[in-house]
Amino acid sequence: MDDFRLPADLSGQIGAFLAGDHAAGEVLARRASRLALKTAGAVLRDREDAGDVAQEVVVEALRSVKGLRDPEAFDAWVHKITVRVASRAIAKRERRGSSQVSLETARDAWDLPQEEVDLDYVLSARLGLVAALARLPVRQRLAVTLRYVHDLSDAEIAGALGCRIGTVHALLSRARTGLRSDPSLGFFMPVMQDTVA
Amino acid sequence: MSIGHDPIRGLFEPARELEPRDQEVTDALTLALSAPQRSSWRTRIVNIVGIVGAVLALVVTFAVVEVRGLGSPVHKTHHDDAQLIAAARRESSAIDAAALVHALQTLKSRTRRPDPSQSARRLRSARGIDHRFSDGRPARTHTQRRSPSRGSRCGCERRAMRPRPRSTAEMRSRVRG
Repeated sequence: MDDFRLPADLSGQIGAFLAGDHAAGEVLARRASRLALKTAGAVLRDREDAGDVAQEVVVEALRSVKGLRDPEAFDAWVHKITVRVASRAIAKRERRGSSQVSLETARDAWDLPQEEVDLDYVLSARLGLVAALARLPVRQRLAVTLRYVHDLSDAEIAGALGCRIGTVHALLSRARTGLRSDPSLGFFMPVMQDTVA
Repeated sequence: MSIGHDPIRGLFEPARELEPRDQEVTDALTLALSAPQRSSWRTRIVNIVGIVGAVLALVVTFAVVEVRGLGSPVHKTHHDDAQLIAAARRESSAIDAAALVHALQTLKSRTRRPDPSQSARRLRSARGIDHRFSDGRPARTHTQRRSPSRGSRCGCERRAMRPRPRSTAEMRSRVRG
C-alpha cells in the first residue's frame, strides 16, 4: 500500500465509512491493522499473537470511530488502542508463563524474508530482541517500540502511553540501557558498542 | 538482516517490515461491521440481580449504622447522648425528677475529658526528670535535649552558666567604670 505513508484523506475516509462505505472501511482497517501489527509484532513472541492483537485493535477502532473528534488523529488514536490491547496481551501471556522459543518454532511462526539471508542470524536477532524486550517493564517495551518501529516523536509516544514527555524520555533512556546490557543481545553487542561509541 | 547504523533500530527492522495479510484485514473488518454480541438473558438477569443486591446491601448497612449507632465510638456517644437527652426531656415533662437526675448523671459520666494523669508532663514529672526554668516555664527533658555532640549533657547546665543578659544601663555603667 503505497498510499500508507502519504497523508491520506482520513476525514473523508472516516466520513465515508460512517456513511456505510465498506471500501473506506477496508482502507481504515488496513491502516489500523498495519500500525497495530508492527507494534505488536515487536513486543509479542510470534506473528500469530501479533495478528490477534491487530485484529482486536481494528475491531475496537472501527466500532468506536464515531467518537473520534479529530479525524487526523486517527493514527495516534490507533496507537493508543494498540498500547492498551498489547499491554493486556502481554499481561495475559505473562500470567500463562512464557517459555523459550526454539529457532525452529520461530522459523515456522514468522514471515521470513524471501531473499537470501542468514536465517539463523535473523532469527537469533528476533528472538534476542523479544527476550530482551520481555525483561523490560511493559511501558518501556511499548515506548521503545513506538520510537523505533513507527518513528514517533516523544510527544506522540506520550499521547499513546498517556503520560508526560519527561516520562517518555526516562522510559526510552532506561529501555535503551536495558537493551544494550541485555545478555540475549550479546551477539550484537560489539557492533552496538562500536556504533554507540 | 542488517544491523544498520543504529543497532537498536536495526533490531526492530523485522517488525517495521510486517504487513497484515489480506485475510486478517477482511476478518477484522467483518468483525467490526458485525453487530456486537449481546449478552444472554441469563447473564443480564445475573447482572441486574447483582447490582440490585449490592445497592440493597449498601442501604441496609447504612440504615443499621445510623439507626443502631454502630458507627465510630464518637458517633455512637453522640447518638446515645441524644437519646438520653430526649429521654430526659420526656421524663421531665412527666415531672419525674429521679429519672431526670439519673439521665443527667449518666450523661455527665459519658462526657469524655482527657485523662490528666496521662499527660506527657505528668509522666516526666513522675520519672523525676521534669525541668523548669526559674520562672516556672517548662523545659524539655534530658532525653530530648541530649545529642551525640554534647555527650551526656543536656544543655540545662550550660544555660545556667551562661552570663545573664545585662541591661543597657548596666552595660553603660560597666564601661564608665
